[in-house]
Amino acid sequence: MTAKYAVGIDLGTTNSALAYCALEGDEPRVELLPVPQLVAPATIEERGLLPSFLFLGTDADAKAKSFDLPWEKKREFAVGELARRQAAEVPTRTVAAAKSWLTHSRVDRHQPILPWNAPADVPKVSPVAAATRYLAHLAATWQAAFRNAPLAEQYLVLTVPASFDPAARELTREAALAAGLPENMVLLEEPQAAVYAWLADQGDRWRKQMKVGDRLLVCDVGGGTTDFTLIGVTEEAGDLTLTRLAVGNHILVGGDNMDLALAHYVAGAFSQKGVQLDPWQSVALWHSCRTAKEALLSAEGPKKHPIAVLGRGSKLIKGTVSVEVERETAGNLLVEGFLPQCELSDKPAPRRASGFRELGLPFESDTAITRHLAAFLQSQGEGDEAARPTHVLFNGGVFKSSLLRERLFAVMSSWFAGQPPQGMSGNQDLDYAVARGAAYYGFAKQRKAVRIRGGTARSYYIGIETAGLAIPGAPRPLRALCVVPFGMEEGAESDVPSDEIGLVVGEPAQFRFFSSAVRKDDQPGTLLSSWSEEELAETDPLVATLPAGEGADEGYAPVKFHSKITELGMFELWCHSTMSDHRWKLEFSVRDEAT
Amino acid sequence: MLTSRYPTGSITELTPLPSDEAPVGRIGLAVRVFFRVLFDAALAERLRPLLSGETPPATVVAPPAVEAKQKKPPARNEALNLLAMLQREARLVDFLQEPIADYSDEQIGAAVRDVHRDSAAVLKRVFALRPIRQDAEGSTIELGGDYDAAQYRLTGRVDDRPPFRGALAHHGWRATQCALPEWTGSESAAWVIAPAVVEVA
Repeated sequence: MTAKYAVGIDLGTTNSALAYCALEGDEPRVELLPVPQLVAPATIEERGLLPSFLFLGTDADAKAKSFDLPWEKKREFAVGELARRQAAEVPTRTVAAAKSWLTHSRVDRHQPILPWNAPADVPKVSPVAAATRYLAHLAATWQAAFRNAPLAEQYLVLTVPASFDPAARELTREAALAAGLPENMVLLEEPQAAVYAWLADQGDRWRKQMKVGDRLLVCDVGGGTTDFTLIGVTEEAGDLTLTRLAVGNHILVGGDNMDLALAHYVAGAFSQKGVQLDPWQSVALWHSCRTAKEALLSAEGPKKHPIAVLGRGSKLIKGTVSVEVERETAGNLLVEGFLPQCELSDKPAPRRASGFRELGLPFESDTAITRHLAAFLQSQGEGDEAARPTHVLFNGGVFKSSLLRERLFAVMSSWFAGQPPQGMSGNQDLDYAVARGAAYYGFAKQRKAVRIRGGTARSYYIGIETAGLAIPGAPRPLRALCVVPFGMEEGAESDVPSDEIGLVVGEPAQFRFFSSAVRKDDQPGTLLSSWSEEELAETDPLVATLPAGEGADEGYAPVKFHSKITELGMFELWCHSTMSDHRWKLEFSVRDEAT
Repeated sequence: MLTSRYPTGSITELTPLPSDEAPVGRIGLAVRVFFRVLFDAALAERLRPLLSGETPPATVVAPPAVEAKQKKPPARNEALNLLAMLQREARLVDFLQEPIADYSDEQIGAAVRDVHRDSAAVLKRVFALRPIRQDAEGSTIELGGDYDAAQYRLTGRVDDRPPFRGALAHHGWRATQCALPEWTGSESAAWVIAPAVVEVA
């Protein structure tokens, strides 16, 4: 039953990947596993990435065995490249960005709600079920390639955005277990995985690149999300140690937004020529812009770049429309739109709080990644001074463009005049770094090699309604009780000092749940009576139902809280009875929220 | 495992792999075999019968039964597979089927860039083409008498006295793999290169 491999899975918003590393041997050799997938009906091809898209087929598709895989027949759905292509042509039957929905606490993530906005008579799945299907595909891929090494017995590392809250992590884990991933899998934050990939590439050389007191900013811009993490270098017993200092908020803006922005711009150029694009052509244009982005964002090249949309019918040449795009103008559009020069004191424009808009994904109204970065560094500084990174590690496909990397350096140089951060040397495999880093982490953890320490990136609170006389029409004042301090390490647990709380037996007791990325000094038991919206963010509530007859004869049980971060990095909150040895676990209520 | 479609399948029998070795490991093996065969004439001779399907020498370990079972003939001719792929990803069939006499060079040029880009991507992914000679075209190269006539074609004043010296007119191409998609569809679907498209209103 001992694991032969460390397996790293990157469950991405737009692409997923799997890497592995044999646990025997002295040198870690991280390999990617190519993923066989449907690229067209009844056509299976191996690709390095599995696009995180799910296509829900028609009866005719199932009957024609269009979606059969070597490990499963008569399927009614497809994941991967075929589904990604269908997203453009049949949007109402294609699930995209399921992972972003996992964090969206305003919807019930167990309900079949995706594809979002699809008509009622179209089949739907829940965000959790969609994630399960992507992971199950990767699990089956592993099983087909490694018949003598069951995935359930391997050391599995699954990555999640650093900004995922405990409920989203719980849901990710739930999807992973449903897909047959092992019970003892570890969740690793994606920016940390990117750092591990860099460490794997550098070996012991990294100790020469960094010194005590350095701060590494990981700037991870994926397809749909942006994630910032700050890692510090400290010294322990004469050895350099990495400690994760902070992670940013969940920012829903990424490379896909850039493609779309470019497509809008080019569509404008078409309409100036008198060409109005129909919906099919607009989607084709989006695809063209995805490929053109790299050419437009390179520092050198011809002044004008042609972008064409081929004719849809069999008369391809006849139907082709094209436009010449000024490379510099289009490049500037992306650079200025997503990485504008700004001040360190700038803040991103707030999300629009319109009730209707909130029903879909809460996309950022401000696409300026630099302003989000400024806000992150400000929030992690001391006093009025923002945190100053000494090094920057990029992750995500968009940073293949040197123009974008240079702009980010230029903006940060203007913030920290005279002390600009420096880039990390070495090979960066931007598309696969997270999966590779996850596999390497598995190896490093087994070997007790270099590890990033950190614990929780946030402090957690539950809402307690204050007792006292009820005022008709007014809600009871709410207080926030700190249950997990910032930086609580895996394997640690803590009693939460508080007054006794009476829970009624047989009825669900619900507690509002909050987290804070900035209140780093609160300890378990700290009771907040007021806070600003920026300090505490509310996510899914926690619920416990006390069964009758378990040490609660009086009809209610007096309890205190006990918090725990498991060895696998999962957050747990328990109610301990103060009268007996009974204890009950609080669960995230991701189900009831939508009702 | 998706082994049946690789023409290198017979080579793997020479050095049986642990059954849980991943396909990616086989790519490494294929590349190693490629270069060893290229530079080791003796090994090439030992491999030749294997590749042409003759009975392997007695020293070769028989492949596991599972592997043998998978070697059923492909459900459709792989040429159709490739054609469908070029149409699907690069619209190459549409492009070649359309009469072009009436179009301006500009109009053809607008379409051809995309077809060219996407066709090239398919060739790269499926065949991973490499030049046979890395030397710059026009440079002088020398071939011994035992040169491989499959890899080199001599033109001009060719006599019978090696070594042969001459200018490299074309560096040649060689596929380093043949990773076509696996087709699992029905017999009737096998001849479909591109389905008719109906946009439902």
